[in-house]
Amino acid sequence: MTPIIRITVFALVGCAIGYFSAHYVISGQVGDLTLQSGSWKLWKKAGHPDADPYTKAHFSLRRELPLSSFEQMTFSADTDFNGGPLSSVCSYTLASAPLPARAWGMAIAPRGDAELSYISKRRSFNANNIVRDPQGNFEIILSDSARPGNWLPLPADGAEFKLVLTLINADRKIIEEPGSMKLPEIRLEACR
Amino acid sequence: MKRFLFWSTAMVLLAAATHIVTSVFFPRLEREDTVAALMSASETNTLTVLDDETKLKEILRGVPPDMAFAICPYDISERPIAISAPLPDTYWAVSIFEPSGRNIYTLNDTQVGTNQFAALIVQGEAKTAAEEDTSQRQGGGIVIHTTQAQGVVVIRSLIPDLASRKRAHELLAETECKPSLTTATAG
Repeated sequence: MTPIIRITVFALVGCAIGYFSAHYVISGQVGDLTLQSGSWKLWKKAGHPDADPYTKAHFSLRRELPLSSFEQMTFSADTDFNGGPLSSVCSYTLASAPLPARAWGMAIAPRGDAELSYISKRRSFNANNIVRDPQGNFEIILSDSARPGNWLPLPADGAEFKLVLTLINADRKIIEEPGSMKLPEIRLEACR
Repeated sequence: MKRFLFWSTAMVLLAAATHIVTSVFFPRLEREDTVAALMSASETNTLTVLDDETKLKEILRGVPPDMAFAICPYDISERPIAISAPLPDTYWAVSIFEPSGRNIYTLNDTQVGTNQFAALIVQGEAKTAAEEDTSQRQGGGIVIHTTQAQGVVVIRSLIPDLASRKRAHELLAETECKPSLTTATAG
């Protein structure tokens, strides 16, 4: 092996190790930067002034400007309760106890940069427009065809998607111990 | 053996350098780009309501669809900027970001305590503990100190339901964000 090839291989391997190790941490796949609770993931230091560089990098590369958890906590889920990817060829039921926050929103969002094409203007429910039972529990039905109750239409074209749960002014206990929160369960109903 | 140690050490250093560039340097550029896009989406010292969903998605990613947004890029190198806003009877919050993307200030409607928000953004360090207390009210408004002459104010308001979307944007449009008549600064 000539010196030039040797140095090139050396440089490529070194850069690849550096890049992919950073990528894995920034995407939250390794390390203790995220809280995983069932299907839901929370970046623990999102928006904090003392956030670690990887958390800052995660949101910066997504071109997001998160607020601190005192103002807003954002959980995201891209799998159902059994770990299957959320896809609009399936229908799901999301069951939740009352959420411990002043306000909240549950929205459908794209998994990556590609935009989703929606079949309806409704992309979310929030604390003001959800229909609850007398105990404050609620269910959201995610499906590409109209259903009775809190129906959240899924995107067209069989696209994969994620659910984003935003808690606004969450209870102090949840801010301090987000792992103690009982998050909604996403149950797969059927697939086409 | 020495050669192996040399190349191993060099490999570790190269990997570490790439790791740092990937996780610190590039993200910082992206963050600055994000704020720059926000700042260029409206005239300086002018409030713009982002009622066009497509435009909103272009400049503010990852925001809940149940929120209405308005932005006001500011330049306080000559005059402070005065912000006043009527508050809705639902969640409302104001945040201030420096060009670096640092969130220097956030306040929501319950913290304001009244149905009218008024603030003055001035350039300079807070000199006293009272000035550092951003809840300190002076002349009926909150005085917010920042060392950076430029930045962007982001105001968000909860849209309770689809039928309220237009009303939420109309209420945000009643926000004023303009140079203050006073030239006094804290610095």
